[in-house]
Amino acid sequence: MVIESDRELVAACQRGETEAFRELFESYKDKVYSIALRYSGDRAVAMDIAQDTFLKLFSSIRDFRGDSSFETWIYRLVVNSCLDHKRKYWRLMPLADEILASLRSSGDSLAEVLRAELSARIRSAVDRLAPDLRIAIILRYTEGLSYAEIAEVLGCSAGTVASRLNRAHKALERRLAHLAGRNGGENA
Amino acid sequence: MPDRLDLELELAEELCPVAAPHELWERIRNAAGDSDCPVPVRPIAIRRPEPSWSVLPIAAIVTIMVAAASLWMVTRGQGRGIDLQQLAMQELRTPAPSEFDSNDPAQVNDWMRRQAGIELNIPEHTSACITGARVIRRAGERIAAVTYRVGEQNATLLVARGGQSAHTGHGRAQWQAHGQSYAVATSNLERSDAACLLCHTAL
Repeated sequence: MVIESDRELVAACQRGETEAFRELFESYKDKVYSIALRYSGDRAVAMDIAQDTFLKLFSSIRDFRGDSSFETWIYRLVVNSCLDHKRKYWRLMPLADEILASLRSSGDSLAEVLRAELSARIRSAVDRLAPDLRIAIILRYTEGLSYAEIAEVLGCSAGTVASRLNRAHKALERRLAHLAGRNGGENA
Repeated sequence: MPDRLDLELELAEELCPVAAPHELWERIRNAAGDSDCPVPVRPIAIRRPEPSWSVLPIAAIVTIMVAAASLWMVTRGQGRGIDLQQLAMQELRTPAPSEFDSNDPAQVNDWMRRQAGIELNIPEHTSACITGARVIRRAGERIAAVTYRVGEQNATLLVARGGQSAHTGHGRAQWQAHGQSYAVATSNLERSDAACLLCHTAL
């Protein structure tokens, strides 16, 4: 049986067709895991969050009534799992880990090492955002959602989303300001 | 300072989607063995080692220590380690998306009973307007969260099984009844008692 749309897939799950659960998982696993990983910054934690999300999804799929799109509903589940997840531990010196890993790779050019450092610092700056700002940033840049779509997922107005993204951008600009100066010097 | 366009490009690159690891599905299947998840679950064979007489004294000591610690925590009212009142305030300030959108008390009661095993008993003719419900998972516990409005006022009710001793305070409240703990938080501290209109017809 070829399942052509989310609606049919969800209906099949609601009827208890076991193959449909696997199909649903395959359709959404990358979205769920990507949000979890970008939110937590840690692969093991992301696996926990993704697992929680799918267990919650499978056990409550009979309650999905189609008031919103299924994609919005699954986004809500993963966002809630992220926000509920209590960080089990703080990574010690994550930047040092990332930078050392890049330095250990023999043959890397200076530009590649600097690029790795920039990546690590951007991820660290995102990790330090408040949860509500971080999740808005991730829905925007990982999933490419519009302000209206983010608003529907988070249950707030598009204006609130715009405000959170603006605050997040300003915080990130502030934290990454020194890198811009250095990059500018290199380019000059 | 990087300009906005550069920052957005960097963010799009650094936060790009990734593929989920292959082992995720197996993890979910295995975890589903301990839940009510409808995913077909492969039975997991657990090998139980033969008991060794030499470990029995140690096991007995550990059991007694765990029991004593549990009793101590319960008597201190910290069995779950969750401050329900604080959590209610947090939910009110930064509400998470609801998982069940309905303003029908009966439907919300029913959904919460099935999802969290918690009895809400919100009356059919409540004067509050329910805006959503979700289940919070903290420290292995399922906590029912109901968001609602009373007039212009936002409020959140949290309900957990078991819990701490009764306590009330200005602008928020926590109490126990019928083996469940309750906490409410409201956006208007001057009229915090209005939150009670979810379940009561008059103040």
